[in-house]
Amino acid sequence: MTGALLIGIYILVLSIFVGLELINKVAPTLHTAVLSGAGAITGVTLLGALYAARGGASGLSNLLGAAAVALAALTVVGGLLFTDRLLAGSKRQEGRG
Amino acid sequence: MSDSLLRVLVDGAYLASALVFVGAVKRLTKLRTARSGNVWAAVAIAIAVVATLVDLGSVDYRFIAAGLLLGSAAGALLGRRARVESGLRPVALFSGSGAAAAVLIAFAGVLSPPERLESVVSAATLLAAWFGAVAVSGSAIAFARLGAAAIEPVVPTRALIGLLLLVPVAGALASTTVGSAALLPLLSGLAVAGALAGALLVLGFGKAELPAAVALNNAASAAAACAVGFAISNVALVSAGAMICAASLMHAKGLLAALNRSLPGVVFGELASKAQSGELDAEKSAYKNVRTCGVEEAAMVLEDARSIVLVPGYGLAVAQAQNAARELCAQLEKRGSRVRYAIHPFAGRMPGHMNVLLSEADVPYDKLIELETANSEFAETDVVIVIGANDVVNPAAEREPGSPIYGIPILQTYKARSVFVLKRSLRFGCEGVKNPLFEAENTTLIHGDAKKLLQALTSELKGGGMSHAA
Repeated sequence: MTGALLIGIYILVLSIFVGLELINKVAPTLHTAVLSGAGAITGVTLLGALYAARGGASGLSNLLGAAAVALAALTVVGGLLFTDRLLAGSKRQEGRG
Repeated sequence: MSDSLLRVLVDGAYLASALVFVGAVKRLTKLRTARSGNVWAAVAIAIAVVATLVDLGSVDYRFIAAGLLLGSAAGALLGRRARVESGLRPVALFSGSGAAAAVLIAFAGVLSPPERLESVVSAATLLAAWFGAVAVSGSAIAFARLGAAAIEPVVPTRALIGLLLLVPVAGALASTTVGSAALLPLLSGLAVAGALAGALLVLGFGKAELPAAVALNNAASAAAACAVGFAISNVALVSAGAMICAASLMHAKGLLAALNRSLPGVVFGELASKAQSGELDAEKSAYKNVRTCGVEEAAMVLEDARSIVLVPGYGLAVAQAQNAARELCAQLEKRGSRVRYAIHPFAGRMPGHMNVLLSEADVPYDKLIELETANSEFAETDVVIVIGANDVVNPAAEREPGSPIYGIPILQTYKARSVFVLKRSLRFGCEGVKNPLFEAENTTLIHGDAKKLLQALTSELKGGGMSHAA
């Protein structure tokens, strides 16, 4: 477990550094879409929800897990679709710009 | 397939997914690649989900399938139906929903713990619940305040916020020492503390700063995802969560920097405490010396104007007056005037709102000028027409240190020779402060609906064209 934890911490630290570099400059028209896209990606919690809903545990745990899967899937699917629609609006402008 | 080969495949998929995530966010921030960035994000999540399902092996899939089906259907419905004009409200909703998932996962984990609970797992579970609860309540408050709800900013004391930040640390430490029986009450306590912290946090933001609050909620939600990743030893979740958390924090910082604000300053209520005293002063003094005029008089001034700048704001969006604005511009240009639109990055309900509206009305991109350019040109501008904008043209942001909007960069329309303000009423802007521009000597107000006024101005100019030529 300590080995796994160490690897987890490695990944945590490196990912934080990558993340800090990712959003340096955002085109002003894209702020809303970037907020929306990042929000959708936070739905990656879905991975944890799948784990929680894998059955075999108590009934209540399974139900909570299923609800978590639903909420996270809502974030991912809804967030990505909405982001796409936001970007469809600014796409037209870019064509002329 | 042997177990070790399976392990390699799953971990390889996680790595691939992490790389695609990086590309996705990178692409999202650039105009030309933004839309494909969104597709990349979808691919990254899909890879990680499939890998996790493979990793789980053969389990009871009924709960997973039911959840996936229900959530995806609801997400598809909301994602398609949510109005793009409502901007950040759906974003707050989606972010809050993902965070709620993290809280539920934490409870599910504690309700059915494995025989031997690692202290890392319990600490990570508690942190997931805290961060998740912060984002849930923060998103709920942001959702309410981004709509019509008139919730005044509440300034929490620094001590309270500091205390709330210590709670998760203390809770996580405590979890490593207490038995698994005490875990459920501890978890519940942390969830409540997190919800309180999230609500206080977002209540402390001014209305113009709410996009940054949404970014902070995203960061909290991502941190919760990262903590869940530690609890279930899923590297893809740890990596994606940490990355989005850091990226969202930087985004929040950037959004606030555009308003001359600092992240710690807003979170700990430095500027907001100043804001409240300013707000009270503003309430007392309603407008006294305003000049108003009708469409005819305004049209006469416009007839002689050589350079004209339009400043669109939220009122333009409400009145759906973007087409009427373009028609007025066409008419003015026909008469030989030079017409441009000055775009404040935060005009409207969401960043970039005006760009989207005007592009919908087929206003050419090169007619839009940005804040700095506009401010350097206002002194040589004959007429500025402010269409339903208020806070973004409020000189109080430059002159009154006590004002809640003090320090926000504004469009310096007061420099122009004359300013017409199209407004339905003299109500305060979304920050609830008085606008001295409206009482300035060179400002004239025209009361009415933006769309109708613009149309009236256009037809007035059309009609007056003959006499002007004669």
